Amino acid sequence: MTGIISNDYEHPAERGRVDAGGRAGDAEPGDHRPPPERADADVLDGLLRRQRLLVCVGSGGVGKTTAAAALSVAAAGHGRRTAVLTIDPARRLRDALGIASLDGTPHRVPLGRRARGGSLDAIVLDTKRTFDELIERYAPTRAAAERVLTNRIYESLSTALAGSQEYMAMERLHALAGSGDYDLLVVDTPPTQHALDFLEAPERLTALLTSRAAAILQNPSLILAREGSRIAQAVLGAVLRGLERLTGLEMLRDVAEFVGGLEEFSAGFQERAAEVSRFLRAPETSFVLVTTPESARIAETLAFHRELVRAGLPFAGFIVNRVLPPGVLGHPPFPDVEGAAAADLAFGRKLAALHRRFTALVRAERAEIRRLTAAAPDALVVAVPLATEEPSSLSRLVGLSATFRRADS
Amino acid sequence: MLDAALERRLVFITGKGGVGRTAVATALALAAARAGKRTLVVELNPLGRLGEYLGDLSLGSEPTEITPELAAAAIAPAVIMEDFLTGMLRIRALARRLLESHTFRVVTAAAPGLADFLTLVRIAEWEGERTGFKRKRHRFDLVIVDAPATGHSVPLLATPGTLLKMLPFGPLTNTARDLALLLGDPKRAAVAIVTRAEEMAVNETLELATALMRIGVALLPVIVNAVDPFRFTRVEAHRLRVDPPDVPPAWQPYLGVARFALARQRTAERQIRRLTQALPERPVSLPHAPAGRITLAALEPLADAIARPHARGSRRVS
Repeated sequence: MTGIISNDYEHPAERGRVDAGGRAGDAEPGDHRPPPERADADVLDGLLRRQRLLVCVGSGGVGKTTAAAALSVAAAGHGRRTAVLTIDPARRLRDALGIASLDGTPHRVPLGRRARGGSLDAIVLDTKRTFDELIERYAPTRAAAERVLTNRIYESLSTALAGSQEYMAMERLHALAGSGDYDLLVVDTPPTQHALDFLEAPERLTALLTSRAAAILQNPSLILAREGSRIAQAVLGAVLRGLERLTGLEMLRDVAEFVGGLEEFSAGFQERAAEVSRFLRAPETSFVLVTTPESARIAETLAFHRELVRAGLPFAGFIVNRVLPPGVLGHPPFPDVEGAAAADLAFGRKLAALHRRFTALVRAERAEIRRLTAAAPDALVVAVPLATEEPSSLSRLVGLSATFRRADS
Repeated sequence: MLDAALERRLVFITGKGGVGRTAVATALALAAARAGKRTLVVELNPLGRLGEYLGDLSLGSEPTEITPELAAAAIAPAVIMEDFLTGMLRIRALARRLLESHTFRVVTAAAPGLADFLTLVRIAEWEGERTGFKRKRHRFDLVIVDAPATGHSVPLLATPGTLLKMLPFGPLTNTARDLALLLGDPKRAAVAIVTRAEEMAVNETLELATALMRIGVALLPVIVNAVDPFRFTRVEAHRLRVDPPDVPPAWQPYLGVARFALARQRTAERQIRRLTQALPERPVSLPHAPAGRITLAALEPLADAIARPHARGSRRVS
């Protein structure tokens, strides 16, 4: 296990009640989800009871948002005041979580008795609104804030600027963590090609703000001061003028004004980014990589894992979604269907062939999952079985959350 | 499906992350090339796998010939920006130098949609349209673009319209107008959404179809990727569902897998039915690419399914 995870963690209130044995869970009737690796699920359960921040990272389409939602349902079931911060959930998941609008405000998820004293709020990131709030907070004067907020291209820049979505996710996270309203925050990061894009976004954005970009935009000759040759200066000057002509001079001026307006509060931004960075590396933070057992996805996940480790982030483990439930394979001996009555023979052969195929698939998936454990022997690996229906309703999410909970809880 | 694509000169492939857009784009290109069209397949993701599928090729912004009928290229935002500046400056070394400047990167990052715009311009050049920059001869009959996932595809395809609104006058305006005309011309350009027979992927597909129709681009039939060809017949499904199941008692160990596969089959059929009911054209189902590494040979069955006339949604058991 990585440093922060101990297998023997017990919540004080649970002490003495832990029954290491059987598993019941509260999955729905007819739900044939087999138990995941119990020891690993127990570690994850410990994280859900103890940590203050869980960050889910993974490539697009692996079920990251669903995993974040199910993890937060499980944490709320432990009596914790939980919030799940998500970027752009699919419509049904939004419905399942009871999020009526995408306005960035917390929406209470109606867990009822299942919350067991805890609570769950779902928050969809509203990049522009978060940016607005940030500007209002750090502007030295009301007039300075107005200058930025009323800028003609502020709206498109605040959402289109590379990294602004990731930065605002971190910003919102910081505000939520500081609010004291929650015991645990679960973050569903935007799908990225690099695991660390969202981490580096604050640094990129502050680099932008502390550069002399605004001054240079207003007076392009400044960029040329550093260029040695006269010819280079002349050509670069021509390019900048050409670009202005092509894109429309006014737009460049707007960009300059916008960036210039932001420079006034860059000190506040930097401090904030440093705090977020510290929070992400704190002992009460864990990173979870979400994947599926397909070969290409596992390769991407291993690359993410290397990035997280290199960055010194507290990596806890993998959640492998959509794993074929091994329980459906049944128990040997597997009968020979060739002796069946003539009328049954075709059907029997079909069943036997299907069974052979599933056996091979289960074996291939296990081999893929072993690549994860080989790369990170101390990390936890929790397999989420493929269900016949997707977790698109609250009761199905609650059922799924049982995968992440200790047997007796 | 193939006929509808072959009638066009430009086809964008989009869809939810992880559904297999690149594999479908490659298979469609393969099918078009086999039908005798000079086809170019273009990848927009700098970390994409198109080159790998085509035989571990390193693709660049100039088309690489795969077969006499099939070529491939990759458009990376950084490279396209450099090409654009080189076109203005005439000296690549200076363009590079400018791109290395931090301030310049800030300006281009802050100019929303510039990279998207230049990407569309490059695609349109291949398609053979006059773009305001240069005129190229018709090298390709069909350009297939492995476009970004849902979230970025709509802004990408809306770029010309957005730009026209932002810059109603100026040197880029004519180019933007040409692009808008190209993308909005159902005879020349169309979009195919790739999905899976799963509830959330189908939800996203229906929302995406609405958004694309609002932009005014033509839609090809939706492609349902990775549909399991295994089917229980109606009678077999009934024999599995009755209680107790109507099978010899010795077969008990096989029933877990059978019931699981049947439940998955019914879910997939229900989702394909939703697409059929909600969209003007019947979706096209493709089989799984074989497990393991994806190669051109492995994509042949998908190309076959795309080329099959009257490819239909799956048969139903209910």
